[in-house]
This record gives sequence, structure tokens and C-alpha cells, in this order.
Amino acid sequence: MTAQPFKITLPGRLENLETIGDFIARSAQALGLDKDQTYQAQLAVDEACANVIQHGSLPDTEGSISLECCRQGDACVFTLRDQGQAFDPTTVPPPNLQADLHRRKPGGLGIYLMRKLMDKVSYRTEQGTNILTLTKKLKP
Amino acid sequence: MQLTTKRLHRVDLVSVEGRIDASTAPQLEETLRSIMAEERFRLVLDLTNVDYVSSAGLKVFLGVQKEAKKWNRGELRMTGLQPRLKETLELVGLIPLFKFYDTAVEAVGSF
Repeated sequence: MTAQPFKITLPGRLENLETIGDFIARSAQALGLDKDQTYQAQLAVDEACANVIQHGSLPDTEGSISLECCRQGDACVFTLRDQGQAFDPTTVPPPNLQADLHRRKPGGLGIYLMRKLMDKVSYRTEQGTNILTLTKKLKP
Repeated sequence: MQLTTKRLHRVDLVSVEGRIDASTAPQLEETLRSIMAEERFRLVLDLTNVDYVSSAGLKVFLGVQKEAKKWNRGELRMTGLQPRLKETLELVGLIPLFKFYDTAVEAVGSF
């Protein structure tokens, strides 16, 4: 049931994003998030993984991204570990969403979405491993 | 993700099926840009069968809209936006930058 965390380890390739999405959906629902929250968690984790795959200069090894989902009290916690370049997404300033079309910059939306969709996002490194933790509170 | 393109008299209709994420968004971008490369800037994107769009897709929408609207030569308009996708577009402030229609016929006819 929910006592054991859900885990998956995959090569850091963009074509694996769908598999990651399916894994998050299954885990999130089993851990008690409702459908809307599950979609939000899927999107937030997808953004985090896509960012690592595209900009993290991951080593070319099979298990370069690993994900773990577990229940901690009244929240679901999604932990992403990778051996890519150190990068703290929580330090990225939000994009200007009020700018008109010509002034809108196309980038930066992923990290913004990730932070907006989750209740808490935190980052740390441990012996060369990036650890990003995304927390989503269950509805009471 | 599957793409179907239909060339109409004044408009190009691109229908998408599946997920638009960082893996599939480049294919969508290439399709829309290849239409614009033929000097056709009136575009309708049918998202009726799209249940997932990540920021990679939003980036394509934004970039193509900027290109299409240059010198008032055209626009990217959308139809079939599902409620969850609408929420995502709202979160990143994209709703005011696009016109949305209930059906593809309305969207095509709007040009």
C-alpha cells in the first residue's frame, strides 16, 4: 500500500518524460492526491525532469535520473535525484507574466509552473547528487 | 503525439493528438514554422485531443504567436482547449495573448 515509497530510475532522455508522467500519476493517486492535484504533480515533476535532461549535462549512463514518491504526514513528497550539473531552480526569478506579446520571453515558464503548482520546492546537493524535493499537500 | 495538418483556402488547421511535452514540442514547432515559411500566417491549432501540455508546448505557442502576428500578417488561434490546459495557460498569463473558439469551424471562420 502506501507504506513503501514508489521508486523509478531511468536514463535522462526526453523520450522518457511520458513514462515519468505515468509513474507520477500512479504514485500520486495511490498516495492520496485527487485527480487535479495528480495532474499538477505530474506537470511539476515533468518540468523538473525536462529541465535536468535539457540543461543538466547528465552523464551518459543508464540510471541518471531517479524519482521517489512517498507520503509524509499530510503531504506527498516527490524527490528527484540526478548527477548532472548543480542547479538550484528555487533561485530563478519569476518571468514577467504581465508583459505584452512582444516583450514576453518564451523561457522560464517551466520553473515558474513547477513552483506555482507545488506547495514547497527545495533543493540541495549531497556528494555530487542534486536532490530536488517537491511537496504537495493532500486536501483535508 | 500525432499531428494532422489541413490546408484551407485562407487558413492552415493543425490538429494535435496526445501529449505536448519537451520530447514532442519540437515536432509541433517544426510543423507550425514550416507552414509560416510558406508565407502562411493564419493558423488554427486544434487541441481537442490534447490532454497534457508542459512549458515546452507553451513556449511553442508563444514563439509561434510572436512570429505569426508580426506586421499584422496573421495569428495563431486555438480551439478545443481542455479545462486543465486552460488552467495551465492561465497560470502563466497566456490567456490574454490568444483567441479561443469552441469549435474548429468557428476558429477557421474567424479569419
